[in-house]
Parts: sequence; C-alpha cells; structure tokens
Amino acid sequence: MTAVVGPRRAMPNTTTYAIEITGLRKAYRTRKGRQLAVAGLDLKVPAGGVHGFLGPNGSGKTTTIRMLLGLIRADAGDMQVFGYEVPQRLPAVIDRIGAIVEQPRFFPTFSGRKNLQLLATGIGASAARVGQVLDEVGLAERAKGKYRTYSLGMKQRLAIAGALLKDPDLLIFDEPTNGLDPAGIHEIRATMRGLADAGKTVLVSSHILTEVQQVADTVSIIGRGRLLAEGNVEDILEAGGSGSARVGIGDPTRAATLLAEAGFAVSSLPDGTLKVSSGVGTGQGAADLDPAHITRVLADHGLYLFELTPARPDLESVFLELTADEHLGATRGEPR
Amino acid sequence: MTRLLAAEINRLRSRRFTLIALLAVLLVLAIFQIQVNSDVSPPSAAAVAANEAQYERDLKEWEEHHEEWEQQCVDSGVPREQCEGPAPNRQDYGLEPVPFAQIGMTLAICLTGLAMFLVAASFIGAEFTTGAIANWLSFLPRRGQVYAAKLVTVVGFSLLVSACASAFVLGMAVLLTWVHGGEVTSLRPWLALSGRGLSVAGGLAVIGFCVGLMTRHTAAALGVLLGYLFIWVLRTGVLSQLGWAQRLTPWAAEANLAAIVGNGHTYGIPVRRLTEGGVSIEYVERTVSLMHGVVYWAALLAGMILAALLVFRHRDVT
Repeated sequence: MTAVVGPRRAMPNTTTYAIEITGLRKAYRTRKGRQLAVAGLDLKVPAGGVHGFLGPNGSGKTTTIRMLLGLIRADAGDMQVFGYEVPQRLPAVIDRIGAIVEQPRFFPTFSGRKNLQLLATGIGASAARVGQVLDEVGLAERAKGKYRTYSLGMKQRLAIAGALLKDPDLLIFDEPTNGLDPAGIHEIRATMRGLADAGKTVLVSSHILTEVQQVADTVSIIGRGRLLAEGNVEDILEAGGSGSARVGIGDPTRAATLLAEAGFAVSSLPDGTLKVSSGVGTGQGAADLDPAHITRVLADHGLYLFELTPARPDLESVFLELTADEHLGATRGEPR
Repeated sequence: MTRLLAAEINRLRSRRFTLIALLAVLLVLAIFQIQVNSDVSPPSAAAVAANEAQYERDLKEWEEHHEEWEQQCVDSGVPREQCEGPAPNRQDYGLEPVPFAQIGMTLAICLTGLAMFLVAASFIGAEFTTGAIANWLSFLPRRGQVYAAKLVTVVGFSLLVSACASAFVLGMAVLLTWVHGGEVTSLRPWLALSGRGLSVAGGLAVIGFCVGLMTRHTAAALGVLLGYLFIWVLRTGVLSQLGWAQRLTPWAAEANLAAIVGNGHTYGIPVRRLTEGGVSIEYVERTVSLMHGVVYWAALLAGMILAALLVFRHRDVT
C-alpha cells in the first residue's frame, strides 16, 4: 500500500490539465493559534473525465475549492484553471467553471426559477437557458416552488442546474451527494458521468469512496491539507496492494502456519477460512499474492484447498490506509 | 455592469422585505394625512365659539398676570429673557388658518430614511446570512463591480422612494388644502426640503448597506443603529446639562443630518452661572450649518463606502 505514498505518481505527459495547483497553503486564525487547512497542496486535474478529490473531513478539500473560486485567499501557492492564473485571472475563465461549494445556497424566499433567473441575468444567459437546465435536472415542474420548501435532493439539483447555466467546461461538485437518498445519489452519479462523457471535466470532492470509485477516472487523495496520492483509479488500486485471497481448506491451522512461513500475511476469518495477503511491509521474506504460489505451498505439504477467491482492494481500503493518521482534521500550525 | 445592475434591481424589487418596508412607509404617511386633513379643515361654528371663549379667558388672564409671573421667575434666579411668557396665540386655538407648513414633510423624510437604512441593510445582510453571496461570487468574481452594482441599486431605489414619498405628502397637502378652500403658499421651500430629503434617504441607505455588509447580518446592522440611538438618547437626555456632551453636537451624525433637513440645526450648550438665587444654567445657542452638515455627511459616506469596499474585496467568503 505504501507504493502510492511519497513521490507523486506522474501524470502522462500528453495530458492537459484543467486544474493545476502547486504549493497551496491556507491557515485560519483561531483563538488557539493558526490552523493549517491546506499545507502545501499540489494537485493536477486532467482535462476531461471525472476526477475524485478525496480526503477525510477537515482535510482541506472545501478550502481548496473555495480558493480556486476566489472566495477565500490563499496564503501561498499557485493555481491555474485551464492555464489561467487564479484568482488573478479568474474573471477571464469563470464562464468555463460551474461550481457547487458544500451545500447549495440560494435565496430561500425566491422560487427555484427566480433564483436561476437572477444568476442568468447576472451572467448574461438567456431566459430559455434557465428553462433548459431546469428540464435537464428534472426540476421544471417544481420550479415555481419556493426554494426553502425544496428537499435536499431538489436543492442539490437546483445547484447543479445553476452550475450548468453557463454550459461550463469544468464542473466542481463539493460533496454533491450529502443528504441524498440512494436514488438521488445514483442520479447525481449519472449526471456527473454524463457530463464527463460529453467532454466536460468534473471535479468531485467527496469522502464517500464507493461512489467515487464507480464514477471517477482519476483521483487525488489528500490528508491534512497535502496530497497523499494521485493517479488513475486503476493505478491507485493496483499500487494500493495486490489485495487478498480467501482460502478454504480442511486444516486451516496448519495451512496458516505454512503460508506464514512462505511469507504471506494470514489471518483467520469467522467462517473458518483464511484471509491471505501478500504481506507487504512484513520484511524481505514477503511473498507476492500469486494464487499459483499459494496452491503450490499447500500442495507441497499435502494440503488441498477447496476454495481460493481473490479479493481486490477497493478505493475505500486504499483511502483508509493512506489517511489512517489524518482523521484528526487540520494540522495545528505554529503560531505566528 | 448593466447585467449586474439588472439582476440586483430585479432582486431588490422582488424581496418581501422591500415590499413590507414600502407598505409601512405608505401606511404611516397615509394615516398622517388624517391629521393634515384635520388641520386644514375649517372648524365648526360651535367649536369656533367655544375656542373663542377659551382664548378670550386665557388672554385676559395673561394680560392681568404676566408681569407678575415674569417677576416671580426673575426673582427665582432665572435670566429675564428666559422668563418671558408669550401671549396666547389665536392659531393655537384653531381660530386662524393653519399655515401650509404643517404637512409632515419632515416626517416623510425621516421615515423614508429609516426605512431605506433597513432595506439596504437587509438587502446585503440576507445575502450573507443565506450564504447566497458565495454562490453569486462564484459566478461573478469581480468583487468591485458586484459591490458597485449593489450599492448603486440601493441608493437609486432610496432616491426613487424618497421622491415618491415627498411627492405624495406634498400632493396630498395641496389637494386637501384646495378641497377645504385654503390657500397654498409658495411651494419652493417644500421642494427644496424634498430635495434635501432625497440626500438623507440616499445617505442612510448607504450607511445601512455598508453596516450590513461589514457586520454581515441585518440584525447586527439594526443593533448598530439601536446602539447609536442609545448613545443619542444618553447625550441629549441624561447628559444634556453637561457642557462637554453638548459640545460634541457638531460631530454627531444625527445633528448634521438635522442640519441638512432643517437647513441648519440649533442646539444649546449649558453654562452654569452663580446668581443670587443660587446656581443657574443658561444655554448658549449654537448652530450647525447646512454646509457643515453636507461636508460632514459627505466625508462620513465616503469613509463608509471605502471601508465597506475594502472589507468586501479582501475578506474571505465562506
């Protein structure tokens, strides 16, 4: 699993980036001193496709997105969106960005349509475009209802409609599925995938890994405001370890001893089977998780297995391992 | 910028708070027209007779005793000029036509100004409390332009409302006076007052907007206003006999506002004198001129606009 930690996985040279961030830093002043929210973050989001921006709560995801959008100021670092320095040249590129930061925020006493009309007027989008995006997110029928009467899912959909008003090339979704039911989550996932398939770049920040794994092409994992790993999902999973295998055998105790002697990491499962993994980090004698190797070790000692099921690591297990020490939130910085 | 203005105007006129504030102003001014109507209506014959009799009684009593009353006053140590009691006035008894002056224009100006302060504070405060400002800025990141559009919108709206309120008050006064056969005297001073009222409404809208933006909450802006009113009450009430408190008057916002509305504002500075009857307090009359008021408010507004702009441009929006 440690393979993805340390030197960053290089992105292909041919890829152009929608977002490039280097050495980004942001500290908040609190009564207890400075709280480092983002601590020298480097981030590259390839143009096109869905990019998962992952990290535990308090790891600096939302702060990073807010800095990208010019809502808060960075203390240090460089940010580029489609090659434009932000926030200095943000006005030149803002028409290509649609974003939802944390919860959707609209005027509660106005209808959904009215809220979008105000945005459309401000950015010069047509009234017809408002109707079009409301249709796209399935809110046309409730568009006249007051925003405060909307369910969380409807609010999210309205926010997506707002983000789509500009027909942007880059969509930033910050925790888009928070509070949604399974159907709503599926809908958002399908929307993100559809946008990416239509050539857009979607940056989705989340800590719900199963969702991201299903939809993302590339991911960045951050913790305590710095990058822990990045790359294609497949590469991350592969680098995260060869997974484990479930071994069913008549004499599990003896089998466990033999496999451990052969360099595998072995643990017993409640149903009497064994969980065998490659033994990364166990030293020089660690063995690769090769099914043939497992079979041979056991067969050489007269043991014949009746089950051998490989289990791939998922993004969640990789994430949990990478961020095992990151769940305390932001780093406490030195007082100025 | 035009698009921004259009969006801001659209939002301002669609807000419920704006509608409520306008209705409240209209309601108060409409109720006040009952008083105006009563003032310009000729009294009934019976009322005239009763008032005439009362006036005659009061006048006779004054003629017989006013010298005695004044002497008693002077003997108690009060300066003579402060002891002079005027003779009863026929106008106070409803026996003379009410001058056209009592039409509630000052009420309209003060009321509109207060309403515009609240409308402006709520206009920007609601954006911060709902978080909609973050959404807005993620679409329109040029904060200077966003700020200017919002400010121009509330000021323009305030000027419009103030003009309408003044026109309503003046129009109703003319109409009621004409209906009751009264004489409408020169309108020029009232038009000038209306003009000054526009600047008051605009100025208070700017203050409301800037305070609302810096405090990021309508209630906080209202709190600032109430806090200032508390200080005003303290200075003009509890501390009214303290010279240092009254010497601050030329630097008080409300005194300079009164100077703009009233074409100058007169106030008194208490001076204690030792007389044979003991310590007496005399008030030395001073005036805050219209020009002083204009310069003071111009400087205040410029400072507030600049401070709010700096805050808006540099402060994080979360």
